[in-house]
Amino acid sequence: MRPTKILVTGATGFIGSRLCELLSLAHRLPYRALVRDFSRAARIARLDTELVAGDMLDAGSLARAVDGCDVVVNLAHGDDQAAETQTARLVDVCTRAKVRRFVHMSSMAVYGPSPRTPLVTEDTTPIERWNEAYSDAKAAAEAVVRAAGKRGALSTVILRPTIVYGPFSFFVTPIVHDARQGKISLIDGGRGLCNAVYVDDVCESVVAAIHRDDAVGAIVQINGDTRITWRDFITTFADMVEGEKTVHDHSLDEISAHWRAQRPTARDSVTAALRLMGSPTFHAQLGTIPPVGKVLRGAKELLSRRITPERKMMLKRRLQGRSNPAAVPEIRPVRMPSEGRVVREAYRAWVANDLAKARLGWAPAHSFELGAQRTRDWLRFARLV
Amino acid sequence: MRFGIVGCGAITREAHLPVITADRRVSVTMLCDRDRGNATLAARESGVDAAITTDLAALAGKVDAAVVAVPPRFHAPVAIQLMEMGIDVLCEKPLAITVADGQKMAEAARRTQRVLAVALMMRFFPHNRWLADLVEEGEIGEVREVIVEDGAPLDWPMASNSYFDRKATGGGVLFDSGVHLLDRVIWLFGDLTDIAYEDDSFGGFESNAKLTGTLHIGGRPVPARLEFSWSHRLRRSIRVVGERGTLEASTADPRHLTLHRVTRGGATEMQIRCADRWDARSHYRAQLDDFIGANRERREPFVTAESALRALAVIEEAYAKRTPMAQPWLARMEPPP
Repeated sequence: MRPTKILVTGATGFIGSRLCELLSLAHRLPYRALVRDFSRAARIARLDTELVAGDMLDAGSLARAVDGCDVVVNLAHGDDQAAETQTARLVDVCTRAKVRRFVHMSSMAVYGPSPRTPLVTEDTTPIERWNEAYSDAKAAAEAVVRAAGKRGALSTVILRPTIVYGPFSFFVTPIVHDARQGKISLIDGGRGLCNAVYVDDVCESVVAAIHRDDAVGAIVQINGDTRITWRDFITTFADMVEGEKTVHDHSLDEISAHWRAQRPTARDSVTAALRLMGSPTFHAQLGTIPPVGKVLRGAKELLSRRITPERKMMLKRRLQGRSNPAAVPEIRPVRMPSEGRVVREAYRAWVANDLAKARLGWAPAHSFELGAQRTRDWLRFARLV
Repeated sequence: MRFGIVGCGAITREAHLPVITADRRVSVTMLCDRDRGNATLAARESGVDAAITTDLAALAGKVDAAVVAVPPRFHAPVAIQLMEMGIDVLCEKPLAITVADGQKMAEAARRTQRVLAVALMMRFFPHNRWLADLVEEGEIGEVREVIVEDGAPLDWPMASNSYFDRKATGGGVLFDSGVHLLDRVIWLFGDLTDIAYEDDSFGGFESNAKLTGTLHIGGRPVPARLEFSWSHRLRRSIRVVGERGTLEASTADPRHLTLHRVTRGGATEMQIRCADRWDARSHYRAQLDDFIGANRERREPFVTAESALRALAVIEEAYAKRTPMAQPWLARMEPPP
């Protein structure tokens, strides 16, 4: 179909920002970008586009955003806990607005951390509850969209991209930051399969899902064509940084032992308390008690003399859990990989993209070599390499 | 001295109000914002017992001076109305959207005999004068280049889309953030000529900008390069590169200048102390102190509208000469016709 107007949710995110660039500059399709936090919108604000304020959990703002749009591309995920609810709200609003095409960005994560098959396909790989927050949240959100498609409420296309990389990718920047400090971090020798797909190819699958009428009802995996390991992926970007590096190879046994040793610590409680202290609601409540309000204001003034107002606001945002995903601490000691990273990089299965090629008439245009080259161009621009 | 605040967003709450409320010479009597909730929040956070209004005219006769911290497009009409009501104005930067608007503000200040100060608070940094003096005195020899960089991922807690709304503002990173360092360079070293400019916008607001031009230092033309980013980190400083070393004024440390010099022992850095004390609010306090002094003594403020117009004129010329910045990873992207 030829859309009259597209609403893009999650438009300030990594995929969303690139999709907006492609819609504006390559496809020249009319769209509107839903923005919850305008401080994240600098990248898409470069475009001559319509930015509309809204929150995925606020049905009223969603209804205003959807008004006049016949296609909705849902890239928003938000908190894992809220993903299902916000997707249900959007589906409900779109159903009432008689949206003609609903393209939903799911994830390969719905298959869980370790599919028991060397080849993951849409029809043969089960989706279960994995007790892994992101996987379960993506599966629950996808189920909402599938149900709407089945009952005929919406014409849906569901995309399950794999490891999406490219400029601004949070899979790439930590590798580069490590390399700048002379470190390369691998898990299990980097033998896991990296199902890497370049961000432009994911965006083109969205455009294909909009245009192709026979894509309606499809649930397809979006992966690149180049089979590489995580060692290939990590060393490709680490090698873009000049200088000597030391490889830290974490075995799975070593990581398991580390996790087993982990218990809730006093530090966890302090972190929780700091988050609470950064909460404006908490401050407002405390401030209603006159002596406490006076002490609070005094303490704030004392702190303010030590840090700039700009720095103070950044700290407040971080304490409130709104840290910028692109921002990486400048000093990063050698640390044990996170659980999420181990889940990704211990993967042993290849994710097929044949169905996407057949249903969407789409194919990835970027080999890993080309995608890495484009990413390097951006890393240079951002003075990271 | 009775103070009014017009525009109660983040900069008012985090920077202006804490400094103003700590000064015993002034009392905040009016808070004005088109969104009453913003003004109420500002009053609550600062503990100020002020009248709250959404109507600018309500300030007439109730305040002697006002801070204008509304979106830039409204600086001119709001400041002019206040001055015509007999109120001195400390106006947030950039002074206005256009040079023409800024000139109207300066003219209104003259006509009404009001103080119009511009909140380019980095002019109060103690290392500014040291930088200009050491360069003039030949500490680094003949000046070869001036390099200005300022960049970090945008992380400002904006409550609305006014940063990215043509109805509210006049540009992106050059206009909003770059104006501080551009203003300082022009103030310290004179006008920037032979301007060339590129940015990364595609009909929207630039988040990366590069401005080049020529300064005249020590009677010689000196190339200048100014780069600003909302997407990634850049050094936040003014560097004056000379034949015998580089003097660097870092935004993060207004107390010191750094002299980079290669000696027989290798590259070395020397810290030059320019002030004994300078905390994160000192420049805001110095700005307020100057504004109060200008109000009492009926003199010109340290940062006049006329002086702020010079950077605005460069920004206006830069936008008029804009060329697209290379963004090779975008591959087949072209700006719309």
